[in-house]
Amino acid sequence: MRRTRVARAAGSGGADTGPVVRIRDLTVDFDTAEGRIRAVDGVSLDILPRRTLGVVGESGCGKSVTAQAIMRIEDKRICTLGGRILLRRGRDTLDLLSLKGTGARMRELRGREIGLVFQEPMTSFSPVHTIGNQIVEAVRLHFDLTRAEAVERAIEQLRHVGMPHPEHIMNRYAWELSGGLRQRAMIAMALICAPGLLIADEPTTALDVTTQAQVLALLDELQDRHGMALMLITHDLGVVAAVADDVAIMYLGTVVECGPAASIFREPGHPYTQLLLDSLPSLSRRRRGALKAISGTVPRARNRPGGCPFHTRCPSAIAGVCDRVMPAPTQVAERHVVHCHLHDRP
Amino acid sequence: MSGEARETRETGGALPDTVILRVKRLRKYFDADGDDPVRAVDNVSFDLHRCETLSLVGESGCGKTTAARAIIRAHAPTSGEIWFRTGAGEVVDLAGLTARELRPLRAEMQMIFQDPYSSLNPRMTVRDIVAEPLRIFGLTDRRALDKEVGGLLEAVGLQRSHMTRYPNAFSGGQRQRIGIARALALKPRVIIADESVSALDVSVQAQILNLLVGLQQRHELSYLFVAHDLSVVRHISHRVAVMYVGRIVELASCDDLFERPRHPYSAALLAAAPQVDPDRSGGFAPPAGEPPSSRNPPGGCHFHPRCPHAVARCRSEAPAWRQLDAGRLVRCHLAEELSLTGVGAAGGAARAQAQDRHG
Ligand SMILES: Nc1ncnc2c1ncn2[C@@H]1O[C@H](COP(=O)(O)OP(=O)(O)OP(=O)(O)O)[C@@H](O)[C@H]1O
Ligand SMILES: Nc1ncnc2c1ncn2[C@@H]1O[C@H](COP(=O)(O)OP(=O)(O)OP(=O)(O)O)[C@@H](O)[C@H]1O
Ligand code: SF4
Ligand code: SF4
Ligand SMILES: [Mg+2]
Ligand SMILES: [Mg+2]
Repeated sequence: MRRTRVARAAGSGGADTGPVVRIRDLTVDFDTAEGRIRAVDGVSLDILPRRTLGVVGESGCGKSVTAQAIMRIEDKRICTLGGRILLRRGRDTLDLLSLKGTGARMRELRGREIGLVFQEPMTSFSPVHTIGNQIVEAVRLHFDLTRAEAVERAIEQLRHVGMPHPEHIMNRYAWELSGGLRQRAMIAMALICAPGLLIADEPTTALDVTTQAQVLALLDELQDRHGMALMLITHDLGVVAAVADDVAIMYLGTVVECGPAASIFREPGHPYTQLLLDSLPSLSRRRRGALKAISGTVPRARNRPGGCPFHTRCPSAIAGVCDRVMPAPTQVAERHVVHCHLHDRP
Repeated sequence: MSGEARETRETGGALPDTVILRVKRLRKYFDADGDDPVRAVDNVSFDLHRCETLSLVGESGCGKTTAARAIIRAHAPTSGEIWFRTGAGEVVDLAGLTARELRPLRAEMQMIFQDPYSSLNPRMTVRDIVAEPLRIFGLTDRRALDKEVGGLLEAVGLQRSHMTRYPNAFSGGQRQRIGIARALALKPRVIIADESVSALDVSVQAQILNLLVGLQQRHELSYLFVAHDLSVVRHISHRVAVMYVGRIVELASCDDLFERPRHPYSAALLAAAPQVDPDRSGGFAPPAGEPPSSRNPPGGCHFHPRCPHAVARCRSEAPAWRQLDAGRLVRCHLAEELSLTGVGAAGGAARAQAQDRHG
């Protein structure tokens, strides 16, 4: 994946360069048989144009739920959202949480302003309609085009994502394609309206390393070409290190550290980030003894610990502080923020 | 077992002491009677040594699971030999044994499964799950069973008191430990681990990898390890076999393979593997195309349509095995000439250094 990362500067707040989406104090609660659980607990994040934000964290830490909140595809019978999700549209800002998830306004924004790619493409494609028909429908939902124009655009888009024989693929069903081609078709559909933000939730987790590399290279290239923001959700730190410009590390429904990828991988500030990096086996280094494992397991969302959510497993925890007080964000380098009492300023 | 027994003694003499499992020309075809069978495993040969971890890597569908399952005879092999040195010191060809003859040997080769959620019966207590294989092999005394199970749970980092619980009371990593305790119950000599850490989060994965390495040393286990994460493979393996469309294309020591791959497909796999790289100098590069179907793979070298080095000969002639240096086998016409890059080179050194800061 060759590209000049340096050329991609972080926006500094102007009308065109400010964040595409600003998430502020997002909370997500689920009503379950065992009572209400808090799946996301006060997440604040900026998603910048032309940049890839990698969101990493272990299973259940709230990555998908955060993405679903941005798309407003939460199940509103059991799910309550709080906070703000501010979408920039030209000069205006719109709080997505003030809209009705199932309303016309949100339907118009979904796909048009924000696209979504899932881990399992079969969940976005219907098994009874051809890929072509579904992409054509997606275009015509947002643009006033004739069917012939929409078909042309769909074929163009399939070619764009590197699909071999796009005319032929138009008449195929998703289940007839290999995992890699299916993922390409889904990316084509998600990008057909050129949204300003693409959210990709574990888009390569079900794929081989080789196919994964192809799909990531494609996302990267499309991003450069369209200048869109990409929110890439994954549990794979290797993937994040390879493609992300910015990183947010999540633990138990909170962002514990976020900032430019280079800064985070060079100087991880949060004990959890440091331990995660240490626990990774290395591709390029000979084995030297045991891996450093993080002791214990992630507490269940139902039993969220008070204070710092990581204190039950943190080797640096300060008794009487970490188990009582939620750490506030501290900036440790440019745009690099850590939520940990070790960085508290006196 | 008379016919086999004779052959056994003959081949047994030829099997070096250090080899616990010798797979020879193993084939497993599905729809073998049809016009074009799926050649899931096609002429695979390797040795597994005592206390060794040999990993099988390659893209989805290349035949890793099928090979593993044929070796423990969960599949009947289409052809080939599977020589196994039993605990009693006998060398037998598992491929030629009947189900009844296999039964006493089943204890010696165990499998750990990928999915810690579906591989444990939710209605059984941990005691019953771990004790089941012992019971099948005749240990019935309750007190003796409890003692054995308690010891096994401790060996995998759980507690005796966990015995009475059900699987749903455990996290993914703990469930994988239960699966490992169960696999260890019969004191196997070979463990086949097919994607056993793939479903685990990194922090838990590190715990289980450490556990597997520790158990190997303590119990003199040999592992046949299947994983798609090449960093995990690098960490745990002594040797690695790279498979492509049912065949092994390169077999080498772990360091040789990662630092100096000699088959273009091995190099392509390594180039595609993402890794944490604080300098972010390298990035990663996907090879073109997708693996072909094992029903009708391309002729000649199966890899030729995707190989950046292919020459005319590659399209018509299947490359034979070449032994390059000690213990390294490569199936490529150009193996001697090509100079391929691995991950231990310049970029790798910088990465290693940066990681040393942490590690
Ligand atoms: N529909 C639901 N009902 C109840 N709880 C839910 C629901 N969906 C998610 N949760 C809970 O919310 C939390 C966050 O889940 P989420 O799916 O966002 O995790 P994730 O970070 O995407 O994990 P993974 O890596 O496994 O995909 C979890 O504790 C999960 O159990
Ligand atoms: N029971 C079966 N019947 C027919 N074909 C099968 C069967 N099991 C596997 N195959 C085919 O055999 C080939 C090898 O499959 P196998 O599951 O061994 O691959 P693998 O290397 O383990 O892949 P993965 O990485 O996806 O687990 C594939 O083409 C697969 O479709
Ligand atoms: S706030 Fe305390 S418990 Fe939390 S990560 Fe920092 S040191 Fe550890
Ligand atoms: S034999 Fe030819 S096609 Fe096959 S890997 Fe070698 S160079 Fe490439
Ligand atoms: Mg998820
Ligand atoms: Mg498999």
